[in-house]
Parts: sequence; C-alpha cells; structure tokens
Amino acid sequence: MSTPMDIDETSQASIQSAASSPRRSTRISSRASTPAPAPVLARATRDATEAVNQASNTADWVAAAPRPVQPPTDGSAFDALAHISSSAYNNSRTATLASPVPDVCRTAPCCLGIDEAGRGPVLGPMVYGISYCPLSDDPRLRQMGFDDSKKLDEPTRRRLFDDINKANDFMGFSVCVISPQDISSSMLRRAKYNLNALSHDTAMSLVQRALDDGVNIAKVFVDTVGTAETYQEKLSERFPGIEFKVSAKADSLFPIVSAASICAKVVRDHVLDIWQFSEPHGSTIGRDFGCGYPSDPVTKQWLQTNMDSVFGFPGVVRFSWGTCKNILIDRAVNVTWEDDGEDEDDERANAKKSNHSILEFVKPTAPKRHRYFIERKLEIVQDLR
Amino acid sequence: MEITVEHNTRAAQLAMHSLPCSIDHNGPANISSYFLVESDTASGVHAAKFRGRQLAGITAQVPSGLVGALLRESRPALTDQEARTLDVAGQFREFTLWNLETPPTAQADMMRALHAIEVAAILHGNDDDPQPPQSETPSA
Repeated sequence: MSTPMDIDETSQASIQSAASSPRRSTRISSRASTPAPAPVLARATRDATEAVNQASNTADWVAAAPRPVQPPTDGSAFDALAHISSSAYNNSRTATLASPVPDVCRTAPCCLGIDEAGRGPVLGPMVYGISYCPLSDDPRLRQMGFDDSKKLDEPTRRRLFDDINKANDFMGFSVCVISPQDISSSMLRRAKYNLNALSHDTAMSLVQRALDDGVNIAKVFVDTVGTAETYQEKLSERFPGIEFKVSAKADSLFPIVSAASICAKVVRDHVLDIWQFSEPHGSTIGRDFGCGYPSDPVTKQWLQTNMDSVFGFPGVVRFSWGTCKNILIDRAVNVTWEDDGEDEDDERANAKKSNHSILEFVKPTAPKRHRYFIERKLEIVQDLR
Repeated sequence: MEITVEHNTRAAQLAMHSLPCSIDHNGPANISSYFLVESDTASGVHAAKFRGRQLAGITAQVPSGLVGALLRESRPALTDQEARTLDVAGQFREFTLWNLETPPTAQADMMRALHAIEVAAILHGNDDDPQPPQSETPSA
C-alpha cells in the first residue's frame, strides 16, 4: 500500500512544526509545480498510453521519439553543439539531432557507421552516433584522419567534429542523446529493459531515421554491443537489403565508424560540460563529478556528497547503476516498491526490504473483515501504536 | 483506549501525493528540490520520477462532502493506557495518486477505497438526506 506524502505548498511555518514533531508524518514544504509547456505534456501522455499498449520491451521514446532537430532552412550551418547549448534543448529528455542529408547521399550508395559514447559512466547521457557518406568517397574519408575517439585527445576530437560538419557536401551524421533519466527509468521498468537492448533499439532507430530522411544506405559498420553475431543477425533481420558488418573495435577499423564515434563522444562531452541541473537547487550542486566512471574516486565522492536520503540523486545520475543502488541501500532511507522481489538480481535490496504500510501505527484489533474492505485496504482505526 | 481528533477547519490546505511505494521516513523531505512534476492539462495525467523510476499520476478527489485530513499527535503518549489526542495538521480535497509507469485506473486500490466511501454514504444514508455523513473523516 502506498505511503502518503503531503506537500505544503508554501508556508515555512509548517516546515518548522514538522521539524518539531517529525514522528507521525512526512511533512514537507514544496513549491507548487508549474504546468509544463505543451510538447512536454504531449510526451508524458504518450508515454503513459504507449506503456499500456505496448507488449514489447522497447523504450517508449525509441518507439516514438520526437522528430530530430531540423537543420536550418536559411542556409546557415547546422550546429549541433550550439543547439545543445541553447534553451531549446532539455537535457532531461532523449533527443535526436541530425545534420542535413547531403544530396549526393540520396543517390550514391552509402556506407554508414554506428558507435556510442558514455555507456559505462554512472552519470550523464549515453550518446549514439551515426555518420555516413558515399562508398565512392572512401579515399576522401580516409584523408580526414579519423581514429577511435578514445585514442584521440579532446582538441583533436573537436577539430575532427568540425571537419565532419564542414564536409557537409558528402558527409552527414546524427546523434541520439539518451538522457540519464530515460536510462534510469528504462532499466528500472517493471518489464526490465537492459542496456544492450536499449543500445540496439537506439542504433536501429537512427538507421531507420536516416532511411526515412532519404539516405541511400548500402553498407553499415557497427561497433559491437554484446555478441557480434546475434547483433548482426538482429540488424540484418530488421533491415533486409542492407549489408551489416558488426565487429569489435570497428571504430579503429573503419573510418566511418570512427567518425560516428567522434560525433557521439564530442556531443556527450558537451552535454555534460554544460549540464544544467533541472532541480530547482541545481546551482548549488557541485560539478566536480570527475570522469563519471564508477571506478573514479572523484565521481564516487560526488555521489556521496550529492545524495538525498529520501530522493536519492539529482536526475543526471543513472539510478540503475550498481554503484548508485549500493549507496542508496547503505545510506538512504529504505524504499519498498510493489514489484520488489520480482527481480532476483536485487538480492541486496530484497535483504533489506521491509513491509511498512500506511497503517503501520494502527494495531489491527478488529475481527477479520469482509473481503470487500480488505481488497480496498480499508481499516477501522481503533488503537494507536 | 480513547482517541480524540481535535478538529480544525482552518488547517492549512495541503498538496498531497500518494506514491506506489513505501518510504521508511517520517519527517521533512526536499520535495520541491527533487520531486519534479510535469502535468498534461489536456489528459490530466501527471509525470514525475522517484528514485529513477517513472511515475504517472492522476488527481483524485476526496468524495464530496468529506475532507482529507493529516492527523498529527503533538504530545506523544508516555504510556499505552492514556487517551490519545490527534490534531488536524492539514486538510485536502484532492491529492495526486501515483502509479508506476501507467496512470492509476478506476481499479486502483485507492480509487476503489474512495468509491467505497461513497457507497457507504448511500447504504447508511437517509433517503430524506442525500448528503453523505459529515462525521467521519477519511485519512489517506
């Protein structure tokens, strides 16, 4: 049964009185929530209806992601990073940004590379990138000097990303920035949706989008997520007529994958560099989160410092990561969900599980009640603990 | 044991949330900082996240003629013999009922419980007096 939380809309006085008598109720002051603008709302509703209608495990935003940001029509250059820095970008939502499709890519058979950035870190978005160009432009592609984005330093990656943008006469790219909030809620859904499935679906949605935008895709190179063979099978089945080549280290083998990897990495770094916390107290949250990997002591310290004992972490954090789960089990108040225990992996959480109910302070002294009342969790309060 | 509720019709109006989980905490919490609610005015569905999980909520009305009350014991009992007094520390006419991922339906326990209160009012009511009884106050 649910635990009620009551929110006092305004008064400081009520916080005071709550603090002086904290035993009986959760009494909290809150700002009234302002209605969100319409596009946001449309999405929320759609999420809800889709979750009901969908038998599949696909994340709702993959199935019905918003249209990518359209390139400017006035002939000015498309600037993905500037868009992310602008107020039009909401970092708590998954977004797809696509460059214009060069005309030559609509006719000439193209190669397309897929790679991701930010899979391991405990915070920030995971970014999927694709880039494509005509197969016949391979020599030009090779001259650009791409390599695995992880082997390049940041200034080199930024320079290469600029080069990709400038090569818009024969190269296009798009990125899908999966927000940490969406990663958390996808992985923590009732019907568990793991990171590999999330990655595969995102990659496929980017390929589909490129097809929809008119790119003549002939060959796709992918850096593997999970087993290369099963992934390749999955992709070939979904897109018959396109040749897929899934392999480990594809980003250092194929320049078009390196290009995709650079797009993904530069965008991920930029999103995190300028991250604005959506929490109202965001300006007071430190930005010293280190490299974001759970193994980094700086990141660990940041998580410890910025933990709230009831709510956990700010939205930038991926709650579904083991590191976060463990910090919450050790230091935050216990939260029990109605579907807890269904997931056998959560042994630690289950061990600490409690069965507090809304009526925990009421001694059930009444004789056994009719099923009608039991089903509705209706009880007569006759005694207090 | 005697339990008395000290009525206070001027108690502060509260914005209440009923979450689909049990939180081992009684006391203040940083709701305004962390519990960010987005509402769709067209469908009346609210969206928020708690501990990384997606919640969907609807606004539930306290049955007409009744008010919801937050009861608080300002003086804790020292023995289990003495009479207990609860104060109405806040009141509400509606609250947000949250569910995991999908909005609660009319079949949700809470919605059925609220319906049961209306059923009770009809069952125990007097035909001459269609108003539901005022004496009982549900505590959500």
